[in-house]
Amino acid sequence: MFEQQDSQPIIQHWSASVKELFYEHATTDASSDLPSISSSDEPELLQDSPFSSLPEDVIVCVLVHCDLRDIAACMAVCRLLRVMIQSQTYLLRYRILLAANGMVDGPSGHSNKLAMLQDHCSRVASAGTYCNSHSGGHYLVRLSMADEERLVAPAFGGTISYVTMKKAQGVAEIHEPSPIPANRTVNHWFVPFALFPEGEVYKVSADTTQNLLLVVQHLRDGKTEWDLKVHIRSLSDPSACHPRASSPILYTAASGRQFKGVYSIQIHKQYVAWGLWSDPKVVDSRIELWDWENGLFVWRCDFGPKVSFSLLDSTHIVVAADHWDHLCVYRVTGHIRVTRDILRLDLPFHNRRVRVQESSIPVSPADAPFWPDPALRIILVAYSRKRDGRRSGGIIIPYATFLRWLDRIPVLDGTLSSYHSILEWEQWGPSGSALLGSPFGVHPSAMDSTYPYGSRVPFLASVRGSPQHIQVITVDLNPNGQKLAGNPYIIIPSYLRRTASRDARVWTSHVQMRHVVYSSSREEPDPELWYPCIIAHPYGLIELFYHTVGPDAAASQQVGFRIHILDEDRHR
Amino acid sequence: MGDSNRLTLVASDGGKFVVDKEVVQMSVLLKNMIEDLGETDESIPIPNVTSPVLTKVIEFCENHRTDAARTDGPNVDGDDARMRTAVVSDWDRQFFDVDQDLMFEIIVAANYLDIKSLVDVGCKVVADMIKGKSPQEIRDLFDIVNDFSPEEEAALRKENEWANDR
Repeated sequence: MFEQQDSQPIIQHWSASVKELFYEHATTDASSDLPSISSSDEPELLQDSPFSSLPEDVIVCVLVHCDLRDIAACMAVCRLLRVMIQSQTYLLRYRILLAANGMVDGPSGHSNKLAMLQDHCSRVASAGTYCNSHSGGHYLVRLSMADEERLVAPAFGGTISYVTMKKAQGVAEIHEPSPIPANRTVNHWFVPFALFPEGEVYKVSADTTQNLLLVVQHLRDGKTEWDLKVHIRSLSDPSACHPRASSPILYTAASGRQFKGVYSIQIHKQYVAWGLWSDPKVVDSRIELWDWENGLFVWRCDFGPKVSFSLLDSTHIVVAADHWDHLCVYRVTGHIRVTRDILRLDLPFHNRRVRVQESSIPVSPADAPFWPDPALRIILVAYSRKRDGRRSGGIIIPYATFLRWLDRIPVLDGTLSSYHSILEWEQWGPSGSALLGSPFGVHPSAMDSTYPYGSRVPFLASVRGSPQHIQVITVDLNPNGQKLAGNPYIIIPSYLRRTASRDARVWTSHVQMRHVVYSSSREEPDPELWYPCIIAHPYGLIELFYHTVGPDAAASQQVGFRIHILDEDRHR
Repeated sequence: MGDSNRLTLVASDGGKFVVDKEVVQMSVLLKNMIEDLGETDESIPIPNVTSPVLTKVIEFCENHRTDAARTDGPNVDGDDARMRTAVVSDWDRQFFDVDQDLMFEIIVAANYLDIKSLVDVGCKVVADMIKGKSPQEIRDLFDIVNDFSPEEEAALRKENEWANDR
């Protein structure tokens, strides 16, 4: 269901044959001047290559495993392959749309994946015209306002889930939106604290793709030499140890030492990273990496003031801190505990509050038809001037930028070598990141309470002078996204495209990287609602919010979150 | 005369192979054939497949005979781009570390015998060979003749720009 366009085509270099894949009603006069290549003009040269002699269904099976770029290359190899691929329009369309949306094929065997993806694309293009709290199409979890219950937090595993600590009721609840696009269900798990009688349950985190539940508990009984223990449980059965964990509990934070609490838990496959901080003034912090499957301590590094960090992949962690003028990347090797960063990326400003946002490395659940490409995911670095949140901004850095530099640094071979790259901003930044300027009317806390997923990062902004008027802006750094947005044969209606491009200039004037900005406005019906954070979801957005009801704020505040699934085409 | 759990396959060049029935049944074609034949001591001719190729096919089936019991977990490797196609096991990779003609013959034989896992692994190996290559590199790799005219080639290059500039 592609949009029929009345505007002139602006893409010149898509030949008619490729255009047809996007646009069923393509007319030849709208296509480019390129000569079309037909199979019937002249007899094909006899190909005696063993590859060309493969049966057609085998060649198609090969192409299924190729990504879009490789399929495009194959189309230019010879007539036989070209004609063969052109006849596989379903495959091609699906691959092209996946690439254009920064997605990869998922493990589920849905028979109508192309239709689902087309539908998803049209929702994305309608950018944020999703449900508000009065239209009924959202998920709202309200809590009473007992102080100790004010804990709704994202949990970073293969996907992002949401943990609500209901201490008064002695239970933690974990929510996760459906891994199927437009499916309006939310998965839901309960974790009773009574299962952990030895001490206070301090924190809960989960990775739904691995059925993994981590429960952090304070031990203040003096019976062990550790202050914190982390239970490795099964999410579907919190009373049982996770089936892949060889040891049910990890102990950390030596008793008598300064570390008292855990923050920023991030899970990736068998690894889990967390920060430890010292009470009460947070003068010291430490990052630890554990292998929860094998019960092994992998790596740690001590820092001064509390740092923020994000897992880049299984072997790299990026770290930032207030008033550092750079990002540091640490490489974690199996054998040596190197506590020196191997890569330092200079930031384009100095003396700011800097925070690298926690993130998830996308892992597809078993029933997802397609899923954000983990290779295209981005890291968000938020910055602001001290005590002046309004002068805030962000740098969004694709994982590929880190990889470009990290690939040049050899893997340590046992000698604690001096590989240590320091890159000036000009060397890596302008061509490898998108710098978001301080946007007009943006909520002061917007940048450091925003979390990317895959290639997208969403922002909420209130329009100046009109607090009820909310703008939802999603920046997509998927390198094929602009091709999608610029292609008149795909999905973005002209008026939306106009809006998007104007906002793009306002928001990302310092940007050299190609990207797409989807934006839309909506009326927030409840002026008392405000948002502590907004998070990208594979098929939508999630807003965590606080809600004040009535005049006596202290007595009647509520906290909760709502999950927006990209909705039907509202612009019609 | 023989073991009822084993039977004999005869390649196109007359080579004979005595194989476990369980192994043979990984081929949908042969499985159906055996069911049609019922209990028999006759050997099964495979006219399209030569001995060297059949040797390799049987080697693969012997190695993968227990796969059916293995569950196909959802644990798709979602790490960085370098890992994404690394779903071919080391054993499979070494298995296909043969000259190209033999590799394609194995895949064609697997397709004929309808051994899905072998076709799939073979296609993944071929896809890995194609990965990241330019059209000319793919031609060189598989010894394919470029049968486009110069004008067509120029047009193709332009068409491909969008895929190359990331």
